[in-house]
Amino acid sequence: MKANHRLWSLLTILILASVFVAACGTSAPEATPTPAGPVTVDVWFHSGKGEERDVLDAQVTDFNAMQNDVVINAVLLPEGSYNDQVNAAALAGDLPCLLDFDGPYLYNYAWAGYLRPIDDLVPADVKADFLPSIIQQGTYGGKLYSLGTFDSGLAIWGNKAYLNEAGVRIPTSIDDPWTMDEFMSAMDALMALPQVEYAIDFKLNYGAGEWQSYGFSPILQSFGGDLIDRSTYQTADGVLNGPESVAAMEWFQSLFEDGYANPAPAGDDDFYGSKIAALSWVGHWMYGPHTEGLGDDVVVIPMPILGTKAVTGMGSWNWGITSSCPNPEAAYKFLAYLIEPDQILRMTNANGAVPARQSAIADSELYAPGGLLNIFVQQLDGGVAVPRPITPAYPVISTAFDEAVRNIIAGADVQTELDKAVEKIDQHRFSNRRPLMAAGNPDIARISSRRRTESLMAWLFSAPALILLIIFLVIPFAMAIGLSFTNQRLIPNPNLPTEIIGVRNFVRMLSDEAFLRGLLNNFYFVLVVVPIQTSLALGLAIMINQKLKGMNIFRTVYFAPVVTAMTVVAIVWTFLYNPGEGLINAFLQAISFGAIKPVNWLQNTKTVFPAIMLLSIWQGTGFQMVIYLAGLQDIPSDLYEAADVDGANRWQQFRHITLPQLRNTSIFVILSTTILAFKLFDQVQVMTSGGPQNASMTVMVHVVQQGWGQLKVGYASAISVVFFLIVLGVSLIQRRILPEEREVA
Amino acid sequence: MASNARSKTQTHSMDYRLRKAIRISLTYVLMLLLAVFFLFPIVFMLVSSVKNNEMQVVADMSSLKAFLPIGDIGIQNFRDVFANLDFGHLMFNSVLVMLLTVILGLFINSLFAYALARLRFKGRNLLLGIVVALIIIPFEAVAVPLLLLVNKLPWLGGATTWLDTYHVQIIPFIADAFSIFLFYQFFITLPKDLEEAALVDGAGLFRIFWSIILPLSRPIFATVAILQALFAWNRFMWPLMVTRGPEVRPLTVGIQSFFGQDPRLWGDLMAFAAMITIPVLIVFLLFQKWFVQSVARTGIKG
Repeated sequence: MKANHRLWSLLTILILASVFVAACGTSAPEATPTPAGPVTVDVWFHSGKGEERDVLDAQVTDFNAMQNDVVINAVLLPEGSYNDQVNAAALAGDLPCLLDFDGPYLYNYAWAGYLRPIDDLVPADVKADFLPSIIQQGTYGGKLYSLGTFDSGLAIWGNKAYLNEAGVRIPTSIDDPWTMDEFMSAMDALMALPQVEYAIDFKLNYGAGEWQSYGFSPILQSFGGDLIDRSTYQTADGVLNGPESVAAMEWFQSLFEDGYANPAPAGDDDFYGSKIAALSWVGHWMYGPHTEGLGDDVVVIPMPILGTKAVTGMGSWNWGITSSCPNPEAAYKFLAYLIEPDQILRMTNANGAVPARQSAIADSELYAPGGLLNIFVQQLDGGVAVPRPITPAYPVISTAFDEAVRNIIAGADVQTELDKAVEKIDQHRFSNRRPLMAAGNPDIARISSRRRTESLMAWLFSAPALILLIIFLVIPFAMAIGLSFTNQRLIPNPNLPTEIIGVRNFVRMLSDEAFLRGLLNNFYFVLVVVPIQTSLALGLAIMINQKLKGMNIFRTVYFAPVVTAMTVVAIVWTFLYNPGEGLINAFLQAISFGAIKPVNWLQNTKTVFPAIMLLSIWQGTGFQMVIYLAGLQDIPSDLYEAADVDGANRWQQFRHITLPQLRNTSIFVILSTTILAFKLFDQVQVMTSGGPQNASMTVMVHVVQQGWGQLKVGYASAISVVFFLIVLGVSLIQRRILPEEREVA
Repeated sequence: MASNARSKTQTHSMDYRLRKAIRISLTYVLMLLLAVFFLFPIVFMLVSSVKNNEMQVVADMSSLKAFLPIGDIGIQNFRDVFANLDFGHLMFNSVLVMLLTVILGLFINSLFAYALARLRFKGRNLLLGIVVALIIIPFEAVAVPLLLLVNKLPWLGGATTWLDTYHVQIIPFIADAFSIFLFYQFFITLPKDLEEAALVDGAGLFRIFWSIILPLSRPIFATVAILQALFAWNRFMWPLMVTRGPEVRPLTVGIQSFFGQDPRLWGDLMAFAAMITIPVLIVFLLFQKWFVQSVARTGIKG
């Protein structure tokens, strides 16, 4: 009854608060006055490769030193969450003037209105000097939005010694690439060499992510298929799952089935280190390791004609100017500096990428005609390169294809996997909506004047914490409730109003595979981790509580994981779970004398979630142990002495004294572990983002992905609200099942 | 008599002692195995961090060498970390945010809990119910609306947003429902006699809180402080969303930008991870006995 009363009171308050918030209007952003003197331009760039960072840092310094009109204020952001941060900043109206982003995001950013076209800023002769691929990927809706200083490409890297030994022809330009028959017989000849275990390496050690789309969609395109129907960009049906694509992926799958390629390479260096692979299907970026490992033996072979034509991927990080930038000319001044041929070369000499401008290429030792990497220029310039689909849905397409490819490599049915990918892509619809949200100033419950000082003091004492809780927890949660009935999006679009869509978000949840999977995983996690962690913690506490030497040391050891930050834990365990040479695989192999084969823990749908559970138990047990230890030390020792006299054995003492005495402790441990288990987020986000195929999805990860990644704030809020109610329900049930007995003897 | 009794039960006691010795040895074996389980990732992290050669870090990973500081040992990875970013400044940011969050939080949360536990006023039960319910709201669920909110909040000196500041990382986390609940549970177990005596002497409520409740409640303050410090130290998603540059960014976001780099330099990463972990481990080592005692004397165990 009491719990019910509290729940209803709480809901009433939340609903009142949400009505209040909804009643508040949006305050208009203030206009920023244009400052006089040197203009400061904020620039964001991703923390990618070290060499790129160093060059860019130096370029910023040089640029600031060489002129007095513009001061560049450059900020480095972590690459892993770069897109989320850009979305967050756009939402907050806090985007910098100039920022860089990976090619595929251009369409999202341009479509959402973050970027302004730069056609008016870039002179025609400069534009004409760029590789066609750069212009192609920077153009959206007929306008140029971005320029890159370098581009990328795929090729087949070969071990010249092996190729010569096997008597294979080495093509030297895009005019005479291998045909399918030539490629296959080349691989057969290479497989015949004793040193060669695999004819070709596909860099599958890169794991889940963009590589699958970048590296292997050219196979589709070479066979005549594609990721999406590029005439309309509305559907992938009949294209990604059409006969050409199916044939392409079946051929690709056969390479692994027939032993030409390793579906789970132990590491990065099969081609250039151990040299057990004769060819490597990878991009220009491996120039450094390849020449270091193979020296003069390395050759670059143009992409083969697998079906009707040769195809390579393309695209890299681009610079764009934001639409909110007050001084686009000043921002362009810096961009113009970055795209000067000398500066382009400065960058590409450091990172090895394809220089973006013809005039820079001419001066590049590697990329000029005759250079080792000239093949990449030929491909980008000669129409071999196909841009990634020009649509804001690209991230969705890429994710769907990534999953399909990895499943296909693992042996799944090609048609089924591609059909699934098509379904995911076509399901995704874009709705342009405007957010309604306004942050109103919270109204604090009015303090009624009362005579009694106690009441006044009570409110005074409560006020600071209460006000902060209301502002930073209750109001945001009330906003979430309000939003859950709308189709609110994260980024404003003034043209389209937000609509109240009633319970549609809630209905949609019922058929949202990722949400249901996340919910299932959360319960799975609670059912497995809570009992294991609780009993392990109790066992540890009982052992440590014995009066033996060295217990302090053990206590410290068991507690050490608790004080290790989850971000650190996730990184260390990612290393331990490494598919090939990882410690955990090595350990399992050693204790089973090789019977247990290496597992790609975090990429396998069967193992990923148990792997995360293990790490969570490892990290959390120590804390529960300390609480149990405290509980044990509270048990009066005469209880045990009396039991000794009665001749009770240890198990009987545990069963009849320890457990009942720890009842309240156990309730606290179980309740708090359950709530923490439902909140599961950090380790999943850092290690797998819920993948592969949602196998490690949790509700909170899904909420963050829907809200931040896909901008569907309304839907994300609806999930949060439902989830809150579920967890509240579970807690109430638990309290009922485990009635607290405060006054134990 | 005594010696007689001893000789009678000698066989029994030998047997007993033997059994006890076996039991203790088994306990130690089990505890050692568990210690290996709990310690190996940390040892691995520390050892890898001092291996200068990146290739060696990866190569050693698949054998016991991963736990042995062998080969080219040195502080090159740590040097790399310092060369790549201003580690000292990130550390300063993390410590500052943690200290302010914890100190301010201890004060206002305990004050609220004291009112809930001791003072009579209308709405007390309702407030208590709300606090309990608020514990289960996951932070991630309110992160988006909260960002909208802090983006529009004013601050001293005419600032119109809280983004990219220290206080945006501190103020939203000062009040904490879980801490309030822990304080509340502790305060209701305290004897009331002292307070009543003080009240008779005419002491104000705040003075009672300050000079009677606070000294009696050191254990719960220590417990909450440690918990909140750990949460603050480990906080990741929120600072990621609200900080842009290295000026106010904490260590957890700093290491993430390292983790996201290509190529992933495991040696450097492990050095960074070690530098985040070691200070906390040292603090825990210094205070651990105290910590367990404080948990033992607080309501946290039920």
